[in-house]
Amino acid sequence: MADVTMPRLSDTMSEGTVGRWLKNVGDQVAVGEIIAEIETDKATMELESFDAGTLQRIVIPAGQMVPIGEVIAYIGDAALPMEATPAVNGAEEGRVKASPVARRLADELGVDLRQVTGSGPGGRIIKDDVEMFAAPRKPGATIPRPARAAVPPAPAPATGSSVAPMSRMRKAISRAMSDSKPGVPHISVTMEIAMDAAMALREQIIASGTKVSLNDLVVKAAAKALRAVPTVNTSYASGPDGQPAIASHPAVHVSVAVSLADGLIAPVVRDADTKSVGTISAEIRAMVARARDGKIAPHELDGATFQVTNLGMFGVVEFSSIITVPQAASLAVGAVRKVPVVRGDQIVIGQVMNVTLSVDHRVVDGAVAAQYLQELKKLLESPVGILI
Amino acid sequence: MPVITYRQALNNTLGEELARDPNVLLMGEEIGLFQGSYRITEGLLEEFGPRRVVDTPIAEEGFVGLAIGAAMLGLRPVVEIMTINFILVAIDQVVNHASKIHYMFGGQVRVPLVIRTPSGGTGQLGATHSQSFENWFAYCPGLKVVAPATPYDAKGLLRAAIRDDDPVIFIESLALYDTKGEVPSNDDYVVPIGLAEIKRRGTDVTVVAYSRMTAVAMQVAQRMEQEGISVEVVDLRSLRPLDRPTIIESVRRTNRAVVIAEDWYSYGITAEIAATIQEQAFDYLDAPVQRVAGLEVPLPYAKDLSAVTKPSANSLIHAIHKVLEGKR
Repeated sequence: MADVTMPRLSDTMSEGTVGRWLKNVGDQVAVGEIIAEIETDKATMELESFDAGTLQRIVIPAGQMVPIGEVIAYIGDAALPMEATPAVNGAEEGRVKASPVARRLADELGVDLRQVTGSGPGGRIIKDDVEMFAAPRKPGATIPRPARAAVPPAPAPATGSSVAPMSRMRKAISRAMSDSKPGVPHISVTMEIAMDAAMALREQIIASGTKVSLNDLVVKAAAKALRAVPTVNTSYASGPDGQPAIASHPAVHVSVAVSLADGLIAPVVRDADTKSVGTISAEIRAMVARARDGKIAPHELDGATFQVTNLGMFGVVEFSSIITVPQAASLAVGAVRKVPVVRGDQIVIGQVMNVTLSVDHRVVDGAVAAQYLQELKKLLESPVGILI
Repeated sequence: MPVITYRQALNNTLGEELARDPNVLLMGEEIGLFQGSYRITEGLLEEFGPRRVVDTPIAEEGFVGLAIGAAMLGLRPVVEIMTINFILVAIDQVVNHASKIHYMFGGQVRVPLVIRTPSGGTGQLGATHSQSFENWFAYCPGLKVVAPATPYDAKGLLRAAIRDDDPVIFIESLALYDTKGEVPSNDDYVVPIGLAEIKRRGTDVTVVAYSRMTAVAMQVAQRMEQEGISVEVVDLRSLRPLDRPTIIESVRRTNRAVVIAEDWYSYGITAEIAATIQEQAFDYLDAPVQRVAGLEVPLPYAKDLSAVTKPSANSLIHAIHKVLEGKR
């Protein structure tokens, strides 16, 4: 008998909803046949069966959300009767899953089991969990420090990335940043970029018959700038020794945040540094169209090393964005505005755009972020560089 | 204290009991001239003569019946069945007669009979010579069943069995015969039938075992200590009567239990112990009781296949980790 589990359909997916079952219990299923639709945080995907046999039991009914890896159905030999399989979640149908001794102890200590997180199999609350929950916080003069465990798990680096151990200083910075800002410790650095030349270039490209948005130019420039400042094209990672490390990515894959009616997705332009602006533009448009139809493929949302997000169309001057783990940086792009600028000794009308780079301070420092923005500024202010 | 083998402990005890009580006699196949298939009765024919150490034909039903009759009339026969597999032809005598005579005849006669026999499978003896049937007898009211794991307990329980007025099935193990342990020499101690013993104290998990599996559990407990896991080992020693209070007291302290036995999984000893624990220690359990037992197949002759069908140190370690899942 084979387990059908909730698949991982994108980098950021941690749980998925069974949209609907396309097969009923008792139906024959062939390898590769579509048996269900899975709704992820990004899109609705079709679930193909890896196994042939009879759909013996549907564990997770349509509409229910479960973590990835959880069994949602069983496919097996029709001749074998199915044993009832208990649901695996800690709390099911309002009943909290707790061991008998945990239940008794919770009673004695007046602990509400619904507030306790279970560490036993399938999330079962065990005695240790109740004891930890009930342990009185000891008063004392020490300055509270956030638990080190608050550092988000270092993901394994992408295939092909070279992983280098952190220097002692880097480790100390990394730790200090995590202590202060649990999660990924962000800092953001803002730069004003003159966009007159870039706007003029865009006009010329459009006049030549190629559709291209200002954001496409920014994506291309951002990708090229990553080549010049590769420290930004990295990830906080876990080395072979389990110690924090830095993974440097050989390729530049830029994701572009796109808002949808009910959220946002970030399709990835692979090797954006090597593609023409026209190609980047066409790819983004195609992926956005597929995303709006819920038809985008998981691989199109995976593997980004950097992100560009743009709120310029809303007239936003500048903002800072949140990094998508395991990327080390995210570029927030504001609107191009006409402003008075001093050129020579004259005040003229210039077009400027503010960009803000958020970086993971465990691996990228403020000065490096500033260097990157300098490079980006250079590319956008003399945009011929992004065409070659 | 002298260190002797399990085999020596049995041999010494049989000799001492023959000398102590003139009503004690030994019966069995090849126990006299050949001195025992496993040398348990070595030297006893020479010392006590053919009226006290009786070689029998290969006819278990006949000589077990003979021993029951002798016991009813006042002797205290100690029968050796070469391995527990051969007792099947005598099971009617044991289950329908030895166990019930005292009850069915209004307490007029007792059956002070001991049947000694090694159980379990080691050493490529094939499917029909490698079985564990102690649960068949432990199932039957009117019998007592003991299964010592150490030379000390072998001696103390064999004394208790011979001096008991009811039929006792005394379970040995081929794999234990050469194991060593301390046994006092000038001490007429008895290990009471029906008492388990905590062989090793621990705080994280209780492992319940008997006979050879107690030895395995003790090794595993030692190994797991290096991992920082504190294993308590309860050695049942007696399967009937079963010392439930000792098991329960231990599980109430550790909140976790793994039961290991060499017999087959379904309907085996481990099922009885697990049921006992859930009945009497339910509110103390932090994880479902794990059972480690034999695969439900006739034991393969091939050595490597045979090894994987039997419970082992590795399968016990696996079960301990499973029962400890999530514990900090």
